[in-house]
Amino acid sequence: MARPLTIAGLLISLAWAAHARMQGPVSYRVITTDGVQALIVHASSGSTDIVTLDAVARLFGLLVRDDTRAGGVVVVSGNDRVILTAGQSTVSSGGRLVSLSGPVTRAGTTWLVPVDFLRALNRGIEVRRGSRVVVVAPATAPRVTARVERTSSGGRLVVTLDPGVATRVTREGPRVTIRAQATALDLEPLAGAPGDLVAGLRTDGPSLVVDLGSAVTNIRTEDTRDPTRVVIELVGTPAPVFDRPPGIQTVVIDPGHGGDEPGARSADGLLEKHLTLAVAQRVKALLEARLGLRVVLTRDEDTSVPSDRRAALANNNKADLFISLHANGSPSAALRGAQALGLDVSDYAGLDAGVRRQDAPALALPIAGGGTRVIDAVPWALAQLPMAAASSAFATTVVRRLSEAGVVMQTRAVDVAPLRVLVGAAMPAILIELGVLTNPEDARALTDPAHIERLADAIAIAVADVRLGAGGQ
Amino acid sequence: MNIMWRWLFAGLLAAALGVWLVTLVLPGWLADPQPASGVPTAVSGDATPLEARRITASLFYVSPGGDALVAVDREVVYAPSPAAQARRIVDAQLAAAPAGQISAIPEGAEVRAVFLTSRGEAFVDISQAIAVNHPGGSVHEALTVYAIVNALTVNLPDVTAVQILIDGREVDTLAGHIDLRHPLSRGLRWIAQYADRP
Repeated sequence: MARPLTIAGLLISLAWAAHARMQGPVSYRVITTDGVQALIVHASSGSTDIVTLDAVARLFGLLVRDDTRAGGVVVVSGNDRVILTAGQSTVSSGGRLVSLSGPVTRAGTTWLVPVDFLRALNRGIEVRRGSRVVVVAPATAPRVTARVERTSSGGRLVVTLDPGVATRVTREGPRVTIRAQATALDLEPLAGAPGDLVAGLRTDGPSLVVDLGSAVTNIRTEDTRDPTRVVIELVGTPAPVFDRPPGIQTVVIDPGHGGDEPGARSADGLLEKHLTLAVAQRVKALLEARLGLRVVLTRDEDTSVPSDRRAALANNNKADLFISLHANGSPSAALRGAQALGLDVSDYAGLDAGVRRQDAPALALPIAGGGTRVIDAVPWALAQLPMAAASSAFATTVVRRLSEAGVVMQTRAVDVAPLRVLVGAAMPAILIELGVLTNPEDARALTDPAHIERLADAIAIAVADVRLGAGGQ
Repeated sequence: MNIMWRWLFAGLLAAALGVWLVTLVLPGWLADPQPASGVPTAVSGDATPLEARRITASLFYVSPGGDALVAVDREVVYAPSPAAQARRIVDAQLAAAPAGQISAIPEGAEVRAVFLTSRGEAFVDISQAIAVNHPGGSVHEALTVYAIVNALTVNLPDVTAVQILIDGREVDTLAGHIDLRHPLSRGLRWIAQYADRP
């Protein structure tokens, strides 16, 4: 009976020792403009953390001299002398008394001081015991707290900075980085956040790194104009609503550019027109083979096709979806990631009203069984306007599928613009930017057949979602 | 008799001078420098500059992330009329970017003329280099277009929309993406400060 108990006790001891080793010693993060160093806590007592004077002296370059006659020690910090006496909770710093949270003690030859002794050094040192952080001026480390709340459109991440500093929010795939104008950040651990919205939160120097959860497809940063707050809307995947009944039959895929319009170009000479044709042909093959859909390409060779003819081909074929494939270019090599865009209708609203008045009044058409039905004719040139909401839903579905396939997405993964090729399409229509050819990493990926397959596969799955009528929800 | 003929001749000359003044010269002096409703006025590049006076205008350059514009305050030569000021602003926007900034405008693009209408629309006629030298990409194209659109709509209250012409002609797009067949209104969403707004 005794032997099992002994073994169990031994195992518990080993586990505890391993746990303690894994945890490592408790330490303060000392933040200076030169970097972050550790100040190891010798012992904790009540509301006081005790550190060795030697460790403090090494960290701050102090000179320590025993004063045997007074039973104390003298610390020289620049032009100041700090006098410590064993057993006393006050020290004399440059002639003024400074109270400490506990007494100065001596263990053999080692002097022990409460960590708030650092304040007596007159170096603009701030000690934060709660987060075990020491900030040495002129370094700055705002206190950061974060909370995640659910909303009807997904969720919201609210980050508070004390004191407030300028920040910039960027996104690369499932990771959002909030970079602050500070030396470092003092982050209060985030507890209880929904994992499908925020999978992780950590600091990296002056940046707060947020790993987005699987339910987040897009983010929007609110312009709070308040340096103490950063608010990020975490947009989930809405259930797309399509005006027409489920069950699509025809898809028109438009490989962007062609002929004497090469489009964007990578540093290695990859042309957008060739890339878009290759991906379009692959998507066509997948849709035909897997879903049995009728797929029409606006071009299947290296030829120039006017924008109007691309949309007209989709309209004339009574396509249920129109997908224009492109690859991006930017003056900054930093921009990377895929994107799905719909039509920005804001500049067309006035044109629509004007055109309807002049050219396309309401028409009265005869119906079977007698009588007439008045239809509000849509101008051919602005056929996309009534489809904008459905197109936006389709773009969201595509972005979700691309993200799930591991494709890096732009910060504004779903976006809108006054895109010429979409405005005349009379069905849900989007433009997919497959990546950014002026970014070296994207350009390299876009020459990789496996990546091309990944892109084509994700687009095909998104079309399958639409065919189900609920965007795969 | 001779004297009478001389007086008669002088009277006729004075009458002719008066008719010339009233019919040809005075309308020119009294004319409004702005065009009548809907009639555009062109301002050519050799309009007299008032070099001594300058205004501060927000011009737009590519953000470090490459997907938005950032506004940078720059001094632009003052001009006495909105149309001439519009020309100065577009000239400055198409000029080389200041140190540390990236221009969204392709090399070689030059302003040919700027027209304003009383409806608040500006027509900016640019040389074909803006299309021929454009490296492509919908983002780059949008930044090029909205750098010009925003330079006018943000700085000039009279301008609410801008249409870009190339070599005096209306065009579909610069590089295959952004619809230029009609005037575009201010695009705040392309400015980094507002970029993440829906």
